[in-house]
Amino acid sequence: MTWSLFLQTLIGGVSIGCIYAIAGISINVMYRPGGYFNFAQGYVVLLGSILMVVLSTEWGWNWYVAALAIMVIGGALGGATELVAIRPIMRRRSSSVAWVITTLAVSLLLSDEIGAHYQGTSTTVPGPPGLSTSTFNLGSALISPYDIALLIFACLLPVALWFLYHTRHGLAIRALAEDRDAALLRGVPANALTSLSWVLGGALGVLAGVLDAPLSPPDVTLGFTILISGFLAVAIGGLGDNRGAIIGGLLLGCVQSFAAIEINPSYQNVGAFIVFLIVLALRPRGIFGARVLREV
Amino acid sequence: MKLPLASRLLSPKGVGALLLTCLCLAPLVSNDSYLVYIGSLTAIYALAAVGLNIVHGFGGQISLGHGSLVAIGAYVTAVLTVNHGWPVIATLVPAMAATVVAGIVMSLPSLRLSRWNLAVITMAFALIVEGFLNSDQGLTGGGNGLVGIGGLSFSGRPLSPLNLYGVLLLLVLVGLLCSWNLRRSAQGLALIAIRDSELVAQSLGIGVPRKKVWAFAISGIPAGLAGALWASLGGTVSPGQFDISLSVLLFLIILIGGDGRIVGPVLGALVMELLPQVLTGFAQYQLLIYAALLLVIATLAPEGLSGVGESIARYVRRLHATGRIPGLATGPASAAARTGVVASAVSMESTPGIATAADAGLANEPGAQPGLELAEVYSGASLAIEGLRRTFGGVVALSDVSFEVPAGRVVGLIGPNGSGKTTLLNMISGFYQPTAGRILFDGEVVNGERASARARRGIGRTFQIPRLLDREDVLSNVVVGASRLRHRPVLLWLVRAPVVRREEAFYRREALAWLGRFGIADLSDQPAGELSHGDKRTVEIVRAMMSKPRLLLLDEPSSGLGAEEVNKLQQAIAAIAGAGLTVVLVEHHIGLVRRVADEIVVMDQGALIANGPVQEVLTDRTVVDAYLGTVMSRGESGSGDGVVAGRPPGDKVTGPQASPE
Repeated sequence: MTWSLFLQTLIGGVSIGCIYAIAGISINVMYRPGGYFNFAQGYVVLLGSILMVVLSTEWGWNWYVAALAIMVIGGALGGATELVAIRPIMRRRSSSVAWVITTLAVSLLLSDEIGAHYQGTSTTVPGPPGLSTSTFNLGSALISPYDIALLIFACLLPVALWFLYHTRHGLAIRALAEDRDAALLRGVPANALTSLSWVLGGALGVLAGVLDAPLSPPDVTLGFTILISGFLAVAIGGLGDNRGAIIGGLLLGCVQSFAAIEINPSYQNVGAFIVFLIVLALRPRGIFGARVLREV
Repeated sequence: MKLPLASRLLSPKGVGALLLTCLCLAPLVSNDSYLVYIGSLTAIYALAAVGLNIVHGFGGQISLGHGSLVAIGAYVTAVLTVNHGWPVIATLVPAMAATVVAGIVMSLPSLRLSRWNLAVITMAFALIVEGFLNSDQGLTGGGNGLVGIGGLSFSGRPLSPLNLYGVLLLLVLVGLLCSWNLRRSAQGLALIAIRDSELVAQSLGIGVPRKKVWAFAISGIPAGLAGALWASLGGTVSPGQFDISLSVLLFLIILIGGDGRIVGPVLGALVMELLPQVLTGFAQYQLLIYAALLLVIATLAPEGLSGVGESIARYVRRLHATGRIPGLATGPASAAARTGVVASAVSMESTPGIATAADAGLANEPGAQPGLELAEVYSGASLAIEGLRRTFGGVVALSDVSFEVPAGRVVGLIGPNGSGKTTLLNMISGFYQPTAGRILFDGEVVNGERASARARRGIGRTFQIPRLLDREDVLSNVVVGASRLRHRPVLLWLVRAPVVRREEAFYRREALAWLGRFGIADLSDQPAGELSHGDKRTVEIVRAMMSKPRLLLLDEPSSGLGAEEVNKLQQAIAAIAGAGLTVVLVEHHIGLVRRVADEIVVMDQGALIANGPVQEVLTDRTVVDAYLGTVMSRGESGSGDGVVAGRPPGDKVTGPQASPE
């Protein structure tokens, strides 16, 4: 492998890694208050990409306006999912895992709707004004302003969330995550905060898709693969930890990218899986996962 | 309780079973080839789901990659028939062997990972298998798959599709029977214990990692069989059949059908396979309605469809039961029943009818015979703590604690909250490892051993907050205590061999006898989660006794009990001590400690501050200052009966600084 190929592969890996990281963060945000995942999140990300193609390319909307509108839709979708698929179950029996079924059902609905209305495209969305996806030479590799901006944005996201989690409401969400019963006794409005988290998670989920649209054309068959990549990023970094999701996502993106170039594109997932196994063998709760002392 | 056949058939369960049977037989009767095909496919899903039900329903381990096991079974059959010309029937065993191995590989991450990390990793496993099948390695035919597998034939006679459906039905039935046998066995109970609380499982000496691997391995058998027969049914295999959605489908099947219920996989498979068939009429809205129905089912029946059946059954039973005397068939073992047991060991034979002096006041046990003394079954072992130290980060929870407990002695471990009592208990039972120092049990150093290994040595314990298997009945909760004593080959569990039945009956009787001795035999068929706090504690102690411990660690057994219950507890501990067990009792109830303990160890701020005979320690100046305080109104030194100590000085019991002396 030449130096320039190495750099090129690395850049590609980092870019896709940023998308995984943001998808992972959206999973974290939803997980935080109640301990539930959204198994529809893969299709939520995909929906973001597709809406971006529609709004920006077909309808000619301004990139930023389109992105904002899509995030509003994503937020509404996340909130609705919580309302329909999570809350009714938790009210009946909080230890049930039936939320796996219901969020998977939401996933089915999304994939069906997407499959029915979207024929697929082979073109990517142009980058936002001022951040072109056209590349320039950086040493011996090609990089675009968009790639750089994406990495910066992804790295700033956990910082922004850190501040958010240190506001009054953010603190209450962390309290819920730490000890739900104790938080409820202190009058923390669990339902409202869970809804809020799912709205935010939905918005971040579609954002991952929006940001992916300039990198590659959306592929309707990839819903589950995106979901698993987001999960893997989170599991590598440590469930609930947003810094970890960034590290996990970038690691995952790079490993996939190198495995595809060096070995064979169909072994991308094998590479990712092996890295995952290695990380978890060393740290079963992920890189930043808190060691939980046994409660006896 | 045996009901006449007619009324059993009319019960909700009977009606359900009847409907289910009719539904399964419909394709056989109609002989419609499409119906037979759908029926066969449903049976294949159900078969694979039976295995997943063992992994997740019983063992609580999430597998979102079980479809890959089916894929491996199918491809083994396909490769052996198409590439090597084997007959399908000869490939069944290799297919099952391959899936068992794959199941073991898939289980390995479960030894270290939490539930959801395991879900992710099994999902990734499925993606990798799919990726491998899709790639061109010249073995699996890549994306096109393999064609021309051929049908199943028995000794040269090919099976018609109808016959194959019959075979599949039979296999599902066998699978259900086996999983039912497993569910009732010690092995099944051990899995349930792992599902509900790994801590409990470890404290009972259940080898958690081994059981997990075992559950995944055994689930490979039906999955492999399902895959092989699927390949034979369709005649072709392709990666598209076995993508991640198959794994998801299998998981949905057991959740919809009823997680951990025996017929759950069948109900789930029926719903998941028939719903789309019914909905084909709705054309473009098919998936929409399907997803909406999933949402509705999951919301209305979070425990699955068989859970709905059960709650209807419970309701009907309650209607039936009005006016009937509760507590049927829960009497303790009678002498007549005992004679039927061919027990190999004296220890087994002896327990059901044990009577000791301490028993007399505990409970009236109508059928009890003065049999062997408890002391001949139980024996104590010594415990020695040498320079034990434990730090959590910078906090020293325990510093340089040393004391000895001779075999058969009862030691009360007292001290204010946060003085390190429970930490010490956790280190003795192996849930924490010491930072420095040694723990000797029966003269042997046990440092570094896992909790389950120590439990197998004979260290039993209860928990500060009772931890029971809430969804199981009291009897099962007690019987699970004997898990460490019961090892049999897997096959015997699955077919419920006579030896297993005898053993089962024996331990149930022993459990009933113990429950009777503690006066709660009438609760034996109640779900443990619905018991009162005091009864939960008792059940926990009984469970610990079932594991034949030589050292019993009781963590604040009297907390939350009323005066009457404390009296019963006192008698129970006296009975246990009378049997010769060594007991370490962490307790705040000084009255209780004074009445049952031989010696007292007092701790304060992680250090041992006094150790010796009860009266001596309780009047010790340092102990009074640090912990007991004095009662102001009476001015007595020491603490009277029923005074709950452990409060900060100044709260009811005054500290020495405010003492009127």
